[in-house]
Amino acid sequence: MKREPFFWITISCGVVIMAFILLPLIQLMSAPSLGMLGETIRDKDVVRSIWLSIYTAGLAALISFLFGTPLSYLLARSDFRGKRLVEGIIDLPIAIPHPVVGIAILSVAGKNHWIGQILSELGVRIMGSVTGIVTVLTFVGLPFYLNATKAGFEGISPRLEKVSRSLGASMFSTFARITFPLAWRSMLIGIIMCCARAISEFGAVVIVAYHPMIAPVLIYERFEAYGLKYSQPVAVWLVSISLILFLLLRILTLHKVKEE
Amino acid sequence: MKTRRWNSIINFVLAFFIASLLAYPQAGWAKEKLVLSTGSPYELGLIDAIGTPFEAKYNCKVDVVKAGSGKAIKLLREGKVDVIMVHAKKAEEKLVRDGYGVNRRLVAHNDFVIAGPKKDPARIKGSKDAAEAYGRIARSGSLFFSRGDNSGTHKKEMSIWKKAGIKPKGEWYKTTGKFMGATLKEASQGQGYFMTDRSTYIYLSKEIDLDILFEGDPSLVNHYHAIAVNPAKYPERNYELAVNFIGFITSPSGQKIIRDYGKKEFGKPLYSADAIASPQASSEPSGKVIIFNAGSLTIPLAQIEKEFEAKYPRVDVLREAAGSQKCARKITDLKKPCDIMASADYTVIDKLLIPVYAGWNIRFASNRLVLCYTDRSRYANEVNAQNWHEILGRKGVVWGHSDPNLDPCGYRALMVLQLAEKYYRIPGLYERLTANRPKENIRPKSVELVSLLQTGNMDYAWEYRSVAVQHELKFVELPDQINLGNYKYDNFYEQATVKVTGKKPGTFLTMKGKSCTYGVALVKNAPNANAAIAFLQYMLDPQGGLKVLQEMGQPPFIPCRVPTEVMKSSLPKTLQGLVEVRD
Repeated sequence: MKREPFFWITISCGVVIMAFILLPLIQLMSAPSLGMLGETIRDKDVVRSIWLSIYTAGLAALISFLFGTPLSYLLARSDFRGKRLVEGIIDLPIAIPHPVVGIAILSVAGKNHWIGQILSELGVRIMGSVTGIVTVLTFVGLPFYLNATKAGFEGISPRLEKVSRSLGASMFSTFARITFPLAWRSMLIGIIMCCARAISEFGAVVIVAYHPMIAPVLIYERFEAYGLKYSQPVAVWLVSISLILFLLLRILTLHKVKEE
Repeated sequence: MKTRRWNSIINFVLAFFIASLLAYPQAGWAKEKLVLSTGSPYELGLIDAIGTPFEAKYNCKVDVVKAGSGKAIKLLREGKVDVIMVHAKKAEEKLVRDGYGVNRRLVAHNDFVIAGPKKDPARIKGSKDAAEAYGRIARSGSLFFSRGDNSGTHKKEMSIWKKAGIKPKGEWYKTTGKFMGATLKEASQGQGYFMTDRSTYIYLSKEIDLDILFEGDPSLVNHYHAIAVNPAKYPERNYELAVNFIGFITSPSGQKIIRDYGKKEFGKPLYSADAIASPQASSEPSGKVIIFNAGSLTIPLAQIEKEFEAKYPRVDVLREAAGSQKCARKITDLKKPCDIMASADYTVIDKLLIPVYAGWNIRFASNRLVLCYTDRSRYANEVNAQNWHEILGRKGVVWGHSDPNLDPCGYRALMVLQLAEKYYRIPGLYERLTANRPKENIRPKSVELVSLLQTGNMDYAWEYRSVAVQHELKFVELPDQINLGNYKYDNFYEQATVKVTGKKPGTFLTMKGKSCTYGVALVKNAPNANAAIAFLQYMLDPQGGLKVLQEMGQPPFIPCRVPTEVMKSSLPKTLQGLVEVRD
C-alpha cells in the first residue's frame, strides 16, 4: 500500500516535535552523575524544598477544586450576560507575566492596602510564608483547573440531569449522583494540570517568598550561587518526582475506567 | 643507462612537485591573509613594525600593495585590497560616502615640509604659508620636483599651486612619477625643491643633501586614516581581519608602536600617533564604546550615556551590567571585546586587570550603606542615626537585607551590624538584631527589597545609598566608621567578617569588610580607545558624569583619584587634568 505524502509530513513533524521536547530534557537528566544525585537527595534543604513544592502545589489544586468546581459548573450549564467577560478574566492569570503576579499580590498584601491591614491584624502573613506561596500557586493554577472541568461538564448531556431533577432529586444530589460520577475524570485532569502548572511556577513565587524555598527557587539559588553543576541535580529530582506523581495519577484513572 | 638517468630526472621533478604541494599550504593557505595597501608608511618600514606583532596576534599574514593614497583608494574601491592606510581627506570621504569603504579611523599624522638646497635659491625661508613659498619657487624658476602620480602628496601639492594661483609648467617643474623616497632622492641629486612628508625626510636624512626650508603651515598636516573594505560590496574580501587590523593599530599597543617607530634609528619618531593621544583631533569620536559595568552603576551610567551621546552623536555607548568580578572575568577569561570597565570595587581592577589588561585605575565615586524606610514604616517618625539599632531590635519591626550568598549588599549589611556592635560598644548587638530578622526577610537582590518597603510588606531595608536616592526612599545615614563608605576606615572595616557560600554547597568563603569605592579603567587593546577616552573625559568631569553620580546618590570624588604620580602620568593627556594624586 502506498502512503500519501501527507502521511509522511505528519510523521516527520511529529518526530521533530518529540525531539524538540525530549532532547533538552534528556540532556538535563543525564548531565549529573549518580554520585551527585545521591549527594543531592541527602541534602536536607533539597528534600525540604521538593516536599514544599509538592505540598503547596497540592494545596493550590485542592483550593481550586473546592472553589472552582461550582464556578466551572455554572459556566458550563448556563448562559448569562457577561459570561465571556468572566471567561476572559479567568484566563488572565495565564497571560500576565509571572513577576507581575507576584508584585500584584504583594501590593494587596502589604500594610499600605486595607486588605493587607486586615490580614496583618488577623496574623496572616503573605510575604515569605507558605500561605503566600499557596496564594500565588492558586492564582496561576486556577485557570487550568477551571478550563479543564468546564470542558468536562460541557461534555455531559444536560438531559441526564433533567431526568434526575424530574424524578425529584435536588440540585445538589443530582450533581453528586449524576454529574460528578460522569465528570470526575475531567476534574482529575484539571487537578493534574493545575498541580503541574503550580509546581513549575517560579517568577511569581520568588517575589512573594524567597524563603521558605520551593524547589524552583532553590534551583535558581543554587544556579546563582554555585552554577549549573549544582542546580542540575535538584532539577533532575524535581522533574523525576513530578513525573512519577503525574504518571501514577494517570495510571490510576485509567485503571478505574477499565474496571467500570 | 639512459633510462636510469631519465628516471632520476623524473623522480626529481616529481619529488619537487610533491614537496612544493606539501609546503605550499603551510606557507600560504593555512593562514589567513590580509591585503593592505599604503604608500609611505610601508616605504618607511612602519608597516613592518606593526605587521609583525599583528601577524603573531591574529596568526595571519599581511601582504602589502605599495601604492600612494590615490591608487590605494582606487584599489579598495575595486575590491582588490582589504584595508588601506591613506591621507587624502576628500577622496577618503567620498569613498566612504559611496559605500566602498567602512570603519574609517584616524591612525596617525605627520606633516609635509618643503625640502630644498641648503642655499635656498628661491628664498622660501620665512614664507608665511606654503602657497607663498611655492610662489617664490615658481617666480625664481628654481628646480621643483613633483611626484605627479595622483597620490595624496601630489594632490596636496596641486591644491597649494591652486591656492598660489599658479599652473606649474615649464623647465623648472620636474615630474618623476615615483614614490616619495625616490623622488626625494632625485630632488637631492638635482638640488631642487620638493615637498616631502617629514617621516620620509627623517628616514632618508643620511642619504640626502637637502634642508627643511619651510614647515609649520597647518594645512600641511597629513592625517592618515585606515579604511576597511565594505563587506557588503566585496564579501569575498577579508573584512574581519581588516577590522582587526584597524582595531590593532588604533589600540594603545598599536599606537605605542607608531609613536616609538623611528626613535631608535633616527633619534625621533617618524609619525605622531593620533588614535588615542588627541581624541578631539580632526576625527570626531565615533563608533561603539563597550562598557562593562557593575550593576549598581547602571542607572547613573545610562544618564551619562544619554548626555554623552547628545554631545557626540556618532558614538554609540553599549553597556553590559554584571557583578564586578564577572565583568573582569569577561575580559580576562572570555576575552570579550571591551573598551571601559567600571567596577563597584576598585580593587577588582587592581587585582584582576592590572597590569596585563589595564594600565591604570581611577577611583571616581563611593557608595555606602544606609537604612531605608518609608513614612509608613513602623516607628518611622522616631528612627534616627542614634537609635536605629534599638528600633531594629524591637518586636514586630520587619526588616531585611539581600542574600549574602548572592549579593554583596547582603553581606555588607551584616558587616554594618557587626561594626555597629564595635562602634557603639554594645556586646551581643549583632546576635540580637539578626535574631529579630527571620530568614523570610532575606531576598536574592537588594533592589527587590525596595518593592517590599513600598508595598508596606517590610518596614526597614539595607540598601546602598544610591539605590535609596534613586528610588526616593527615606533613609538613615550612619557614621563613616560603620557605613563602609570611606576607604580611610578600611582598617576598621576589616574587622567585620561574614561567611558566604563557596564554590560548591557546604563550602564557605569569608568576606572581609572593605569600603565601597568605584574604579574605572580603560582596557588595553580597547577596540575604540579614541571614543572611550572621550567618554571617560565626560564621565570624570565634575560638570558631566560626576554631577550625575552626585544627583543619583553615589558621592563622587571631585576630582577623581589615582594613587601615584606614575599612574597619573600614564593617563591619556585629556584625562590627566581630571585627576589628583591621593591615597
